[in-house]
Amino acid sequence: MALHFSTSTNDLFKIVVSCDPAVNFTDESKAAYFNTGDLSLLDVGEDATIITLKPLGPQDRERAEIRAGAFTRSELGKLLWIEAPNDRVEHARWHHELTEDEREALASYESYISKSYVEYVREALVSINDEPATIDMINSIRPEHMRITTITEIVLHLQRVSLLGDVGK
Amino acid sequence: MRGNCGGTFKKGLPQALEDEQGLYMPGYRIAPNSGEAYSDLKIRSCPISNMNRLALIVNNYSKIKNKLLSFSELYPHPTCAIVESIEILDYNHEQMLNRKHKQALEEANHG
Repeated sequence: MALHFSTSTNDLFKIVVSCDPAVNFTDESKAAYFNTGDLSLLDVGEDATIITLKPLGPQDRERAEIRAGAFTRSELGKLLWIEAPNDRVEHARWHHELTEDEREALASYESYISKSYVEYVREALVSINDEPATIDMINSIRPEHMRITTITEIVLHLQRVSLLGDVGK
Repeated sequence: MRGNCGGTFKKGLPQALEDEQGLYMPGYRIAPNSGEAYSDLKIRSCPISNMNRLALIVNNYSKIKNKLLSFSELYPHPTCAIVESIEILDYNHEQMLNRKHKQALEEANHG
């Protein structure tokens, strides 16, 4: 268990994202950065986009998860999501064997996970390049794969500083 | 172990074992009588630096437990992580007391 978490939601912290062309790294330095949040591990150019975040408190997390649909999410979908194999081929065969209902439940839970990531970012985003920022700015990032990378990496940092585990409730 | 604080264990560490992921020490050798969950863990890096990082939280937990200060006084803006840390400390503290109690009973019975 890495012990790099914050104890206060007032401890704002700055991150960069790996899809930013002004940020250079090796696979090792990127992995170490995700584990520690230490920006000095990366080669961060002067024109890199700096995102400021606040760690999530229990109420922030609860608000985010309720907005994402915590009360209506599929429990069967959650169960299937937890037991899904990690290996891609095995996963594909496992998914092929699911019934129509199970597939729908799984898809619905995966949609809840994606929504909760966006809602975590909404709660935690403070500024971009020291200017007040909103989730709409992150959602307007194009191409789409860069938007998804940005949200995923923000959530990764949020989980590192705000949570002990990495699984949503 | 202390000469490599926080880093992965180095070759030559007495009583260290090895598997496909490298050197490790069984949890029960690092902290005996710490419960089954910890005893079965494979500890792969020196635990001292993590213990040092946790020292402040453990001290604060003692203050809460002894009613010297409340959680909200110590952590007015808590993250999910600190709430969970205190819960884990409390659970393990209670487990430790239970083990001590059980041990004392067993010693008294065999007495």
